[in-house]
Amino acid sequence: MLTGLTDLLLSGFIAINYAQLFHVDPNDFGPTVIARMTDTDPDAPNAYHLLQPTMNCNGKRGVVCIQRQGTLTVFLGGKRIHTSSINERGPNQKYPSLGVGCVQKTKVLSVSRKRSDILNDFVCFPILETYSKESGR
Amino acid sequence: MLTPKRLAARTYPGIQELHSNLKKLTDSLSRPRMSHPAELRSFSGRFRQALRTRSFDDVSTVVERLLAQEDELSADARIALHTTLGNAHHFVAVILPLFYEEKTLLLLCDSKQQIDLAYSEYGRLLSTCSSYPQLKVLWNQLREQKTLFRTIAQRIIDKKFWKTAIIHRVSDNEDESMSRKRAVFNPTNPSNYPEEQFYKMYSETSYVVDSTTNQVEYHVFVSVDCPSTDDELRDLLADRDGDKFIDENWFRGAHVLNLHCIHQLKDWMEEVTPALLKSISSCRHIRRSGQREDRQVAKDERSAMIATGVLVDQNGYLRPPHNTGSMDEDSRFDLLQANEHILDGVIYVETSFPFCEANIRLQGRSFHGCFDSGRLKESTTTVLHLVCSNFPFRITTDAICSQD
Repeated sequence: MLTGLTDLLLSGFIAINYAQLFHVDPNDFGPTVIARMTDTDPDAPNAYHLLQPTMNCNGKRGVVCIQRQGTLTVFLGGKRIHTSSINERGPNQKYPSLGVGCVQKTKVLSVSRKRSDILNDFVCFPILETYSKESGR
Repeated sequence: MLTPKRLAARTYPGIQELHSNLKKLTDSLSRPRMSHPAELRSFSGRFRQALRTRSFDDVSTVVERLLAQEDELSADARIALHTTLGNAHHFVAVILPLFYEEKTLLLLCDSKQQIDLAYSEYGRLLSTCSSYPQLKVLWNQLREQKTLFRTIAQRIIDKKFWKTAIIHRVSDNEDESMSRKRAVFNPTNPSNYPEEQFYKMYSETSYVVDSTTNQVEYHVFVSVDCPSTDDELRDLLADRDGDKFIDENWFRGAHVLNLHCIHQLKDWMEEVTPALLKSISSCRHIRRSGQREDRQVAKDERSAMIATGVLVDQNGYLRPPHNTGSMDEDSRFDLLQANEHILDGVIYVETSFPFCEANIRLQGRSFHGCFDSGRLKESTTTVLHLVCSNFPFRITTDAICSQD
């Protein structure tokens, strides 16, 4: 992070007018976070909302999270099928649907004690190691 | 088996370039690294202060000189430099080892509090100093950005939206008949959308979560199996320091509406919109598989997605952004910096909400806790390490931690 405010390691993405096929993202770790930065075309009020059709609530089939400027949605994109609704009127350059998302995509890299020699050639930051241990108490 | 060469290939190159340049400049000062008397096992506050003050001029001189030749660095190294100057842990881990003997630095910064204190102290000394103009300008810029995000986050925290969280209990079904279809919500003319290509959802038969007020609303989705009552869940969300957990077995998501009612956030969103559009038009688009994206539709409807921020690939390796095409390094830096700023804002707002701050129970899958920003109660060294250390040091320090 540029300002280093958070200690998170996330992949970010920016999307415009994104309404593609239903899918699951099995390589995502943890929840997906999406923030909608703009309102879309007022003449297309049903476009670009988050749809999770296999999630049911109160006897209704499928959950729709309305997306407009100022919404922040967390969902389990790695586990549940999802997409966003199409814009029936087609794209409108005056009202682009802009969203920013982030998701964890890391796996653990582990090196055994026997192979610790390979670390000798690398820049090492022992403070962070100490901090990790300290925090773990 | 990992070899140094292969591990190097997985290590973020920006930080290696930054470190190499900082080291050259530090070596050119020809100063011995600061040490402490061998008999000292811990440092007093006064001794710590003296150590920090003594190194201040050398640290600032080196960074000032690096900033003077910043345009010779790659965009990735410049981003890494700004990150390092904007974060206490990165500052201590990347810059200070060049000025202190290892054991001295470990004693000087032997806790999170001391790391934060060291960083703050360098900032304080810089603010009272008339030298190092470029460093001062950059430090202040980073501080202003942080102040804005912290103000927004504080507004969220002060309002305690989670106290009135609306809880939705959901169940899951396994029906995947909609796979590889597109979705249309409340179609005006349903016959335009054939069943084999489109899945239709309607507000009458689907569960629609929309705002009912013009204030910030906080909706939380939990499984019908969740054993807690709504009030117990709200208490759990509000209990930021306790030992209760949001359990991944029943947590299904959250939806926050009307954040634009926070005027600083609305201003920020409007400010970054041109940068978002520029990024979309300047960066290469992500090409997704045919199971996720119909490329012709994407082309026709001008829909696109681009990667931003540090690129973490599907194998967990850190990569510098490589979707910026052949633009010059200055333009690339401006683009990457704008994207980092946007991502910072989203993540900072997101981590202000208690589904991040509350404890998430870990059940052997290491990274499910990573949306927590430091309150993990049940965790392995590796997870704690990741939460605490972060980009761009993950590779080297993960490896170190794994030896414990």
